[in-house]
Amino acid sequence: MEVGLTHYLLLAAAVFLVGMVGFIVRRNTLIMLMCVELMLSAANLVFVAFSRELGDEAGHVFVLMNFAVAAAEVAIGLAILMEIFRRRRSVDADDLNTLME
Amino acid sequence: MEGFLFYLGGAMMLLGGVAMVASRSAVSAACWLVLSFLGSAALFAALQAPFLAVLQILVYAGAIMVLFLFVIMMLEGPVMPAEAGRPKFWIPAGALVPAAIILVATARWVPGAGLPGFPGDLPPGFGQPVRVAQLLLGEYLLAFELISIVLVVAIIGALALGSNERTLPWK
Amino acid sequence: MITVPPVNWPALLPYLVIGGGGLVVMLVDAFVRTLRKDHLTALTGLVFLGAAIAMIAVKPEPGPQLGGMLTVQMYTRFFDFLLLGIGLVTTVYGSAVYSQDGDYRPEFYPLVLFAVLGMMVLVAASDLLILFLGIETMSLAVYALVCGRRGELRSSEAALKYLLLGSFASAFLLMGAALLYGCAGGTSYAALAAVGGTGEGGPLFAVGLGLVLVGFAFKVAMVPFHMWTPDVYDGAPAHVTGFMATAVKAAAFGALIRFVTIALPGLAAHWSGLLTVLTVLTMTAGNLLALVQASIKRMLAYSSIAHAGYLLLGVLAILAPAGGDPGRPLRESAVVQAAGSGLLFYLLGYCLMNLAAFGVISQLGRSGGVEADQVDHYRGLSGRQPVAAAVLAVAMFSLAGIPGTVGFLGKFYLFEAAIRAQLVPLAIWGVVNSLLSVYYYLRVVVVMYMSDDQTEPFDGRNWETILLAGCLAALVVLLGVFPAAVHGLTSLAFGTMLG
Repeated sequence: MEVGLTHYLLLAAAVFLVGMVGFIVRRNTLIMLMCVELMLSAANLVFVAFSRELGDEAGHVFVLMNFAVAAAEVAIGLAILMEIFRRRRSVDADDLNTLME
Repeated sequence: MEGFLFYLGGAMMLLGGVAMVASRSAVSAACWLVLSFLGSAALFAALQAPFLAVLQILVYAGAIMVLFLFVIMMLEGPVMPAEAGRPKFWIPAGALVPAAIILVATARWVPGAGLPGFPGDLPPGFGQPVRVAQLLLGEYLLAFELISIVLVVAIIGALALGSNERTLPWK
Repeated sequence: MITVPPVNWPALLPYLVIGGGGLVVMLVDAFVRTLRKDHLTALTGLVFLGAAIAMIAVKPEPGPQLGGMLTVQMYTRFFDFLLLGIGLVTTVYGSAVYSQDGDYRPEFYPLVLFAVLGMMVLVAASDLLILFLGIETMSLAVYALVCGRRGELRSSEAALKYLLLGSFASAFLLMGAALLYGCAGGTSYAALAAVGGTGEGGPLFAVGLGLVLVGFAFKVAMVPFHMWTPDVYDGAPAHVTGFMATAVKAAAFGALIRFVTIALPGLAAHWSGLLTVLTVLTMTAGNLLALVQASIKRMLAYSSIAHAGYLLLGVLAILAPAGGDPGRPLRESAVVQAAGSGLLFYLLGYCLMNLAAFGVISQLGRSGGVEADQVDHYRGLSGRQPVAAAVLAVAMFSLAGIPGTVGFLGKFYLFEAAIRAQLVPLAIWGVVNSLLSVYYYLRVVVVMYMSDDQTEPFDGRNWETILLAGCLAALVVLLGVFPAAVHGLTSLAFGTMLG
């Protein structure tokens, strides 16, 4: 059962696509944020797989940075969500219609 | 062993993702996402990245998802109804079709046949905290400093947004 | 052993001043009790001026810094000055707005500083990791800034939309960076250039490049990744919209130009076909949709999309292969030079005229929870506030590209470069588009000057904002009449990047 780079890339592509499709079809903003997290973790997998292939840890550093960036994005995103929820009592993206003409 | 970890972790990651996208309520979506992250931690371990595997569980599956669940419980628990309709598994599963097409196009994806494995020789101590830290505080020092700015921005932003209509205690 | 790369402090001084200044402003706000908000404005302004002085006074050796993470050269310094100026103007606009509203928002000041720091790093980045972190620093700060109205649903919604789509875009960027890293064996632009320069990176490399470009396309609001722009520009407070329309776009274009010309000349040529289609779509969609807007902020949002299209035309003039032959990476240097200096000149002019316009919009104040947003709100403004009306009129003339303004010369340089690059149909289409755009810009002027003077609820006055916007409008005219010095400067700056 030898497993190589291609296996990992295909898996990451599949996970990335699932996250992308989820982001597009779901309307619950919390789940949309989670879909972005899924896409980011697919990208992380690609980094680590290439690091293994190249024997070079720069990819690991990239992934570490991405952990922190993802945490920061989630923190701000959830803060904005709660701000909206206080007024609107909904986290549905279709309810974000104050700005529609 | 690595092959086993790949199939186990890969299945967890993919199924967790599909179930997350298809789940009706945000709570179960978050739980499925945790499964997906655990799967990717297993993959990191298989890829000789033990440090990242541990951090993936501690930071991602731990801290970030707890934050998610906390907010979901605050917001959604009492008020929000689940999205109407049955869970639509076909939607995320449909995303797998293009992946399958790529797979068939490469057409040689039989375990252990045709595709090369990873190179066997890795530098000693590859992926250990020491080596990653040396890169992080050496070559990538600037990135390390910048990430602290990113986190400060996140703190200021979250604090400012959260402190709505209230004065800060020290003001 | 940890080997720290050599640190060239003089070259890094401006970044340190801005970053350290942001921390100081934050801490002063938190711990100094006897503080009025003017103090914070003054302090932030001092930080911006200090960084500018540091750049003028200390002249470091240009070149890569910190082992090739950043590159400091005249090109990046040009953008640094531009971004510092935009930051300073935004600070003054913002503090005027907050004092009009009687709403003290201390987080605004450090966030603007950190956003500018992120942008400066983004333009100077010579490594994918630094590029990513620069984009994220900028974006996170701007997400929080967009949400800058206490308890107002419109701006919170705009922030959430921007954050969701922005993080979606950064997932693409990250995936692209991962693929580029794997194919090039490193994250530095130099490693990418070694693979991309030959034009042989394999399909994964091409896919990675495409994904990174999608990430950029979101930031510069290129069709079809522009959907967020009108809503976010509309929902954000006007001074923040001005910041986004100018600084974010300038920084993203600055980084994009460096990325494609330095890292990927060979392969970028393969994408020029797709880029041509997107450029045409961006120009056309932006202008057509701007025609039907009743809200001035939405109109400016679509106009910013159209202007992104003109700027992409300049990028294309750099990248488009001669005679359709992708084997030739960069065109002969005279054309590249003309296109590059035209791009920088256009970006400068674009920032000036947009900042002037958004200054006037923000100083008119708010009524009933909204800003002076509808074109009808500007009816008879020339009678009530002649200076503000004149500034807005100059900005509109310049955006429309009327001769005598910087907007005209910017377009002239860009279209001329496009023609020299044998992109004649595209240049003609650009001219047709800018003729089309005259209608919706001049509609605002007509409403201001040729309608009866009605009493409108939006009659805020703020002399600082108007003074600053007036200076910007004067610069718009001045550069429109005497462009030679600045155009020479942009030409020199672009030349340093090509090396």
